[in-house]
Amino acid sequence: MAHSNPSETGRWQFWIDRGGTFTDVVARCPNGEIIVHKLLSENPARYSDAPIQGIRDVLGIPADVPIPSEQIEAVKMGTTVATNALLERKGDRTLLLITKGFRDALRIGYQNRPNIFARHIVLPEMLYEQVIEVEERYTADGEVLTPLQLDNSLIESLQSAYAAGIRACAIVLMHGYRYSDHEQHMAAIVREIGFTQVSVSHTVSPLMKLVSRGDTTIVDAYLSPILRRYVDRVAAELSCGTGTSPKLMFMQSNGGLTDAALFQGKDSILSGPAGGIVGAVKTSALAGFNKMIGFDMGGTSTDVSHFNGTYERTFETEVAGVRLRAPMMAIHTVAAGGGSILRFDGSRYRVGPASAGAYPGPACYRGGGPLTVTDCNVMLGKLQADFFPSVFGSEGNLPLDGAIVRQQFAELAAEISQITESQTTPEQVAAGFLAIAIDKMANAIKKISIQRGYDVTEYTLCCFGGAGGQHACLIAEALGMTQIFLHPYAGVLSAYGIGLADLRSLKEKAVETPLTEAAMPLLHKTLEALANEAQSELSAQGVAPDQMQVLLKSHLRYEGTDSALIVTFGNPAAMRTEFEQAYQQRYGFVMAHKTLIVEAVSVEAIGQTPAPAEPLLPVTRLTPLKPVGAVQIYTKGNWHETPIYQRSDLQSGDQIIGAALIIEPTGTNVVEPGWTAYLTSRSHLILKQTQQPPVSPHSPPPYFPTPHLPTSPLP
Amino acid sequence: MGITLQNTSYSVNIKERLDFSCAIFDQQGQLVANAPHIPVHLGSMSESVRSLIHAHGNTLKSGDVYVSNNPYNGGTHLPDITVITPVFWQGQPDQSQPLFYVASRGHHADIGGITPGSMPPYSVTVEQEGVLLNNFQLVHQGQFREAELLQVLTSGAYPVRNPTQNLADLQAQIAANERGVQELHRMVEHYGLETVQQYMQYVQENAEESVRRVIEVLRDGNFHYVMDNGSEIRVAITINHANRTAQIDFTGTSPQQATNLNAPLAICKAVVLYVFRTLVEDDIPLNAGCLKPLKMIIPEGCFLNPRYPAAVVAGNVETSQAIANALYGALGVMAAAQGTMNNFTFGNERHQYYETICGGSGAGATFNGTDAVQTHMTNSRLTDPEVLEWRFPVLVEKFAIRPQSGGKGAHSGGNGVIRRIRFREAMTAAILSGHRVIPPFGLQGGEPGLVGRNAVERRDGTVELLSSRAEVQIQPGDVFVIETPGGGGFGALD
Repeated sequence: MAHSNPSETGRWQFWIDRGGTFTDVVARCPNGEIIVHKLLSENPARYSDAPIQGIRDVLGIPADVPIPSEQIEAVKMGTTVATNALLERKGDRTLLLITKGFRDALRIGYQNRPNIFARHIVLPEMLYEQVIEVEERYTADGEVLTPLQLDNSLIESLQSAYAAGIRACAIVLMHGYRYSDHEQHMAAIVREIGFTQVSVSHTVSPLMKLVSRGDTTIVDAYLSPILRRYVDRVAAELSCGTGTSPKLMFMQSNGGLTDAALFQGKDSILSGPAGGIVGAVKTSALAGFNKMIGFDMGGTSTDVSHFNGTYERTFETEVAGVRLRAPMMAIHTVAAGGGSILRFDGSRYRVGPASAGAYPGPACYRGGGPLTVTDCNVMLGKLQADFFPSVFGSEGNLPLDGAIVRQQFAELAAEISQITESQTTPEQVAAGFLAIAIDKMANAIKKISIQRGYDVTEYTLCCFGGAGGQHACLIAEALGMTQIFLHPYAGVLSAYGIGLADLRSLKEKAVETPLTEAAMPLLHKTLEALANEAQSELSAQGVAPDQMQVLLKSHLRYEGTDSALIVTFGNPAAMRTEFEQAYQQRYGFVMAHKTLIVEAVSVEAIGQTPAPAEPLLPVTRLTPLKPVGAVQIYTKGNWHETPIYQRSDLQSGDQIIGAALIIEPTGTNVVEPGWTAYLTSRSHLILKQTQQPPVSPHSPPPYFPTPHLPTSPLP
Repeated sequence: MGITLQNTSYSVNIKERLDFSCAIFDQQGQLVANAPHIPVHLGSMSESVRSLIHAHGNTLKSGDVYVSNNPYNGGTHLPDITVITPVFWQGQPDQSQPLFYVASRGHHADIGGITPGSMPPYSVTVEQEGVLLNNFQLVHQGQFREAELLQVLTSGAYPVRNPTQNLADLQAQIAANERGVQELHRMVEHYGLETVQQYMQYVQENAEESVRRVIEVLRDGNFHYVMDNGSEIRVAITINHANRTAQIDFTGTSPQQATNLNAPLAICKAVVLYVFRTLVEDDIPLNAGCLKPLKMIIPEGCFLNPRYPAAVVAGNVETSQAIANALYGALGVMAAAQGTMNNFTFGNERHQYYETICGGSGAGATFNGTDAVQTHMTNSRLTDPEVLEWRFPVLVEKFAIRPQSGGKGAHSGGNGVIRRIRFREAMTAAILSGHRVIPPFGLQGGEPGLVGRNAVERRDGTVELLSSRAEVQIQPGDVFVIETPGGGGFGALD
């Protein structure tokens, strides 16, 4: 337990990340102490909602007693409720209203197929249940070719959709992002009929491109009701809205918190992972690292992110086959995690993308599961049953099963030896599969750093998530990185980050005009309107004007191209210079005489949350650090005698030379040979490479590391 | 690398429709890996790389970059321009030859020729299709040879119309290659040269083995495929189960023609590679190894292996689709897809635009075809309607699934689309398409898909029906209507 800055109000704060498998709760006690708690996200036999149960657990409140909400100052939450509804296509029934002639425009999209080698082409399922075409038409210049035709048949079809039980409606009209009268008029009519969720494209995503704006609007209509019901339920449990009730805030995909009442479907998709980046960035900053690669390795997937002084956002992303135009933290996900299943296909080692999941789980979990990445680490000695929670078996009290792992790898090694006519040992097989998994994850990091012109060797690898610490050194070596940071709350960093996150409101609007002096009045006017909107949103959430920071940005691109870069708003020459620098870095050349287009302008208003004071820990032990055991681990082609330490035994000034294992309650950290671990006075664990790895650090398995080739397909 | 090029390229064509591919090659010019966004580029780039090695192999230097679009030397058609960067490494023992090659192929919006957009429906020689670049040195030891390049692009009978755009696209391709070079360097430094070269070998052997495994379960077959203009593709596939090889014999195919439907040799190889790759239901590396177990006989002088100076611009975009359908027909695994790319171009002095339009996919033994989707040799994206209307004086009046156009059957073919574009300025518009006369076939008793239809609806209400390939003068207020074919059905309806 650590101390954070004591709450001024003497009340609790709860920072919660409701993930796919686990819900992490970080509670700040009235005296500033931090308590960490983990529970299963789904456990219908015991509780209906994990975050609420987490709060009860921490406060020791039984299920039948109301939560004493007056003791709680704030609940900040990241949730996958909407993300899961999107993935499983379980949102609300939605009606789409679109300009005549375009009923299939969103279904056809950009007409490309997701997998070019599939004979059976499977396209993502549409989110809307019904489409009604609206007779109206603007040109790109705002000329009204056809006024909005509100005839009886249109009204009747709307009424019959309502009568059929549809309550959510998305309105997407051609050029509506800029000429919005028809959309506004339609919205009023639809509300009058009784639709309760009306998402209108020019407010949801005021940007050019019918297809992606349309998708975004539908997502908003489809998910917002589910989110609203969830938020209301949590609010009711916490008696929100009464006198001393807690503030309820949610994490948005853009990395900022917002009041529960303002939380929208289109901003909720990366709610949890965005908290992870904020946590990584804020804790790295405390440790003095300003250039950071976030590496969050879980059971089924790994999220990676890049930070170089400002949060990186994407404004157009494809999630679950849906094109979303909303500002989101730039997170790249690969389907490789501790649970990724290993397979030998006769000539190649294959890792994932299938995962053993929570059940049956990896072979070592005693559920009859297949060999996985986690089992590689058991085989190689990097995960030790004696230092892993004994939660397996039918009673949930047995340790990891090392014997079954060794047996299965021995069988696999025999098979591989026979097929490839070689002598392959079980540990070589495990190390080979591990090398593939490392490759996949290192390549994910390359995509967001090296491929975009950043020199990753200057960065610190910030590891979090359950499986990160087992692979950190190998990932860093594959990328030429020499420093790794492991925060004491690495196991719950998303929740911690949600607690540290600022309130944010982002607003953007398309302008689509050449960058010239003549355009400046329009840009100023547009930005001012957006800034007012964003600031009043934060003011309404209690942020005082002097605590508010407002950033103005322009989204620029060369005329005729499609990918905008974001620069700080300023005079045209300054914006051009910043654009060219960014362009040069990313693409290696600039087009000096080419016209720049201001695609959109955006505003980000920030209400800052003070950084936590992480107290300095005193040195209490005067004798040298002692290991709690020693084992053999197999790495870099050999077995190494390896001491085991408990992280809780470490104190400031301790140094551990690899090979070593450092055990903590939420995970195992492997210090590979050539690396040294240090603990700082803030209990931050830093791993530094003190010796260059030899060429070919991994024993090359009989496969080609395809992902290493600079030709990976588009994300 | 794919991402770099996607992010950098600036013509509408390259940029918004992702109409490009990137790849790396070993010392012999064998394809090792690529990022195939566009199947028709598969494999064929290595012919271009090998032709560079053949022509300049001994004089290539670090810092040199070459460009080629020669359809008789590995190219597909002139707008598809391949930029090749030889890769040297400071640690290599022998500096006289490159270690690897990196190449990127992009579709340029215009490369000259008799029609803006360089997709002339009526070309009869390759000169009429634009400027031919044959292993032209683009960068000499780090120096971009802009003046020399401009001279080539703007000379000849039909020079390019917008050289600045070609220059910018080529620079983007150079930059994309450079990222690839850096990655290869990093890889060699990390793993060592020997390991990298060894693994380039392994990956080809692995791909070869994967294709051999597919061949084991195939049976002999043949197919006779007739195109709208009467030309015929004949293909016979013979499987040798003992050697696990397949022979694909196009003997009997019509001779090369006085149209532009001739497909350079590289195209036919790309299609064969694509079709066999789709039979492997696994994520395998796509490289030169895949072609090893496949023996192709494509007689010289037939329209799938034409001689210079036959016109070829439609071979890449039309004949390639026909070859794919014919191969699936011979294998008996899938009914015809729409079998065309519906290449639609329009332009005047100020504007040039090109798009390909989706249609129905074919049904198989276990699945229905899919409506309104790009099939087989293309996967180009379509420009968003708001962007299209913002940049060009046109209105998209309708873009919708064409009902009842997929062939019926136990499994039905996918439906095509209806696309209506109204013009607000006078323009020249052209369509290059297929299956307007002969319907896409069904298999095993499945019905064929509906043929497509091209028409202009004049402002005064008259309708002019157009043939598969047509060029028309458009006046303000006229509407160009394209209805794309449906896919064929599979199995009889009972």
